[in-house]
Amino acid sequence: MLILRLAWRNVWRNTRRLILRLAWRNVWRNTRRSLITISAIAFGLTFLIFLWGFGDGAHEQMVENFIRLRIGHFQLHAHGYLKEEDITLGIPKWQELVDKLSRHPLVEGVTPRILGQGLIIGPRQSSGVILSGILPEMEKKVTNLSTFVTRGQFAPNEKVREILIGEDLARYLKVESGDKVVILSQGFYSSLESGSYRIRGIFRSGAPDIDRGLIFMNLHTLSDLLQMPDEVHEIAVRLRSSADLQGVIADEVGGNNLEINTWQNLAPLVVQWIELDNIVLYIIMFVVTIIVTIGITNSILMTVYERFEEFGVIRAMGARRMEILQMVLLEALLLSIVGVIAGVLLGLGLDGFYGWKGIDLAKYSTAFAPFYSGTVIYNHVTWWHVVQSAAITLAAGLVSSIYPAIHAIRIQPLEALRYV
Amino acid sequence: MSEIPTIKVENVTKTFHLTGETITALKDISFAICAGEFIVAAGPSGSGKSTLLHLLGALDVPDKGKIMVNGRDIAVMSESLRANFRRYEIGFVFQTFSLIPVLTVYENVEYALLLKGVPKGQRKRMVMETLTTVGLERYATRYPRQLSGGQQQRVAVCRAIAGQCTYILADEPTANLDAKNAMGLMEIMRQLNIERKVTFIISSHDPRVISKAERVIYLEDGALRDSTI
Ligand SMILES: Nc1ncnc2c1ncn2[C@@H]1O[C@H](COP(=O)(O)OP(=O)(O)OP(=O)(O)O)[C@@H](O)[C@H]1O
Ligand SMILES: [Mg+2]
Repeated sequence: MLILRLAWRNVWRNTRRLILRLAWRNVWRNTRRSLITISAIAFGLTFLIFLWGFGDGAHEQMVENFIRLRIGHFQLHAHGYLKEEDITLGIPKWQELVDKLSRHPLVEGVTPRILGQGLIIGPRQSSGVILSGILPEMEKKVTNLSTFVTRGQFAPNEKVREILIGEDLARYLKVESGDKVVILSQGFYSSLESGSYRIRGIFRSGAPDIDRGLIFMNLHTLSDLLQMPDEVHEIAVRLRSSADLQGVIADEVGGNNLEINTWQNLAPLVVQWIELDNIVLYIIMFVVTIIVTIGITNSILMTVYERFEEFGVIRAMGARRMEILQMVLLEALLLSIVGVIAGVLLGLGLDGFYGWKGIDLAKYSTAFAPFYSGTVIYNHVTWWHVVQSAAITLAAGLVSSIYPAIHAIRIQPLEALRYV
Repeated sequence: MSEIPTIKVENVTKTFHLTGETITALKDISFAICAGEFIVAAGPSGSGKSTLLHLLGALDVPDKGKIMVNGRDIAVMSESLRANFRRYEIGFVFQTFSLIPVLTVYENVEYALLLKGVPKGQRKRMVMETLTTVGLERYATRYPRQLSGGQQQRVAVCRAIAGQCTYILADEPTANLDAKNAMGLMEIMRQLNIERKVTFIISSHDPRVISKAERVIYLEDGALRDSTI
């Protein structure tokens, strides 16, 4: 038994390198066909990597823009505030908390907000709105509000009573920047409060609910209107990288008795949208893989048919079925490896180029704006998706060779020799 | 030459079944071959020469009878045992040369040694020695397509004999060669047969090939007609 095993090992060690050499040369035997096969693998993979780069880029931008729109990476509220929207549920000692968060090295910006509900009354129309009191300089570091202003100016002053309203609301109320409106609201102590305000600027965020239903003013202005004690309702935090989310939360706000919500909790639709989108991408990946598999199977089967006699000769010389199997599988593996390397390089190259230059979808359609991704998509490489695509393509190459390999090992030496 | 037969064919019958008819390719054949013999199996087309060589080559099994090689009956071996037997005991030379096109002359010969598990150190020496015997040492790095038919067939003989094998089977090895190359090949095989004491069993219906034989086995309609010594 031992002698047998030794003999087997010896044979295996000896033939392995030759089989590799044979396989490699066989790959280049019909250069044109091998190149076609390799191209099929490479382009399939390039397409997958590009597709993921585009998808991940769009999703990244979508999340980024969504976070920049209003919510930040995470928000703090007093327990129950989000559910009941009761303005008496404020965050006391907010100044301390904001200072502490601002000092965290992974935090890019912190913005406190006072929120209320009210009625805005124009010369002819009135409309129910959410009142949002902000500190303009702090808000700038968390959201893009300042860049949304299309007419007039940002930065509602705390001394004069100024507000920012959305374009849709302005159109509805038939007011312009510089006009005056009246705001009615229920204050902290349930009294009805009102005041007259000048429209400092008009903005357009692209999000209909914000452009129609939200107005901004200085935090102190709103605090005065609502007769608020020294409390805010919301603190939104923006991080340098969304990857640090849980760490920062654990570091800074674990001890406070506040409700913490990440952007995923606050915008579940965005998360679901991305997940759904990824499922579609996985389906495309599956279909592409199947097509590539069929293509390679066909090509390898042809090489097996062509070498019918050769396999017969090798078998006559005493080559084992295992060795024939290895040869065919190895050939497919080599083809696939070359194809995968080419595909990864090409795919990453495309991702790199379009990550830099961007793909302007506005040329093709205007339907993308509501998804917050913007119309120019910059490809983004997510390594996990590149690895997945490469692995599945490599597997496809190997799977493709199984059927041809079974064909090859079934070749009887006698049959092969008779037809020569 | 030793008188103890290495190969003993005993009452071998081989039939083929086609739709509606049964062809008896070999009918109750018995003969013995001693180590180091140089034998030509002759006979008209369809007489069963190839069938006989396939049986001796453990590529096929007979319906009846024994084929004893060094005391073992290859007629009853399983497919994988026969593959193993072919690997170590038999060298093949085919009518169409059948070299592996992607391997060089050297590598084609080496391949047989690799299958046999000959260690690296010995391989190079054995390959070059054999190629030198047939006068092809200068062609070691060439590919089969860069050789003439005669040269290719000499490489095939090298591949068959390079390792230690008990016997070499050559089914019509000269059929695709011109007269000059055919005779050259026969001379080389005869020379190797004498030098290395390897048994050769060659099938042919070419009288000039037959004339080179040490012994001729005549087949006619699957039966042994005559055996000359
Ligand atoms: N696989 C097979 N199926 C059916 N009949 C076969 C098969 N192989 C051989 N035969 C038949 O067996 C007989 C002997 O054939 P074989 O090939 O051995 O002849 P041969 O002497 O080698 O002829 P040739 O000189 O033409 O090569 C022939 O009648 C042939 O038709
Ligand atoms: Mg024949």
